[in-house]
Amino acid sequence: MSDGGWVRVLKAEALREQGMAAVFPKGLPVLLIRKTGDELYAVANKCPHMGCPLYRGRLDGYTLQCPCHDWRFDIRTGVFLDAPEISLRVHEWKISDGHILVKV
Amino acid sequence: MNVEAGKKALRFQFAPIVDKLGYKFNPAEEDVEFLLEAEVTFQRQYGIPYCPCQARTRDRAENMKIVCPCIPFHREHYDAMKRCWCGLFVHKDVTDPSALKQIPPSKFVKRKE
Amino acid sequence: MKKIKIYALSTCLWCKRTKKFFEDRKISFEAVDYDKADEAEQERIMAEMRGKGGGGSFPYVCIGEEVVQGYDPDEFERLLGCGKK
Repeated sequence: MSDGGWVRVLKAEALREQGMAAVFPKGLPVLLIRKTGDELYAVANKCPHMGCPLYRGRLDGYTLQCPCHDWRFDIRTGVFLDAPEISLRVHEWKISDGHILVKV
Repeated sequence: MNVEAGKKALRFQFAPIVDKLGYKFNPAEEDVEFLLEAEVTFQRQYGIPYCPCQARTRDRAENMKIVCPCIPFHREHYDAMKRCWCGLFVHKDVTDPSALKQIPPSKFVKRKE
Repeated sequence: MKKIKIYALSTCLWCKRTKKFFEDRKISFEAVDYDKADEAEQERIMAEMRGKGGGGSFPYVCIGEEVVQGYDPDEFERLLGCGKK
């Protein structure tokens, strides 16, 4: 289901607080992270270093650490903490009709 | 994966990263081939392309700072040398890599102070 | 003749060039490849390098009492005393 780039990816209730979900809107690897309530983040689920999925990486506050080689990113901005020139793509998201939608 | 394919894959993965950091592959092609071959061997052994010229210890956090390209973790030091420690990458403006010197980490720290 | 000791990695291009520098000048040296050494020896080498303020960056060359970290032919010459004009 798609509309103006918005793609329905997951039932909102399926993503618990502090949880992560790997989704694939239009085939793109995207990682959804729910901090609390409706505070969600959607970033590329692919480390720019060597392409590892960030799903199952360690989340500490707003810092997500890649499980492969420990590259750390701020999930709010996508920025790689050790070199801000490198970042994860950040996707817009919204909740509508009980579903999470991601813009790609 | 054979060695040549492994080297090609690393070039493909690393080129866009180092480009954003202001670096490029060393124009000394023979050196690049030698260093990439060592990294491909590490990938086969450990699944990780470590720097061929820095030692691993039993400390994972330290070891992750020498996974290629390790420029983000040694930025000021490497920028001062216009190359990374092993010489796989040099600053984009470098045309004669043989003129670049390795500055020991200890001396670099002293200079900063 | 000053005693020369080289700590190296078998995978390191600059370590090879460092050894070649001394071989070309027919200067004998003692060399240990850190990555080929056993764990106890590795810990000893790392402690020695860190004790002199260097991290785990190779090559690490002791010329007499002096230490050179990195491939630096000018510095090797100077410490050997054979680069004097």
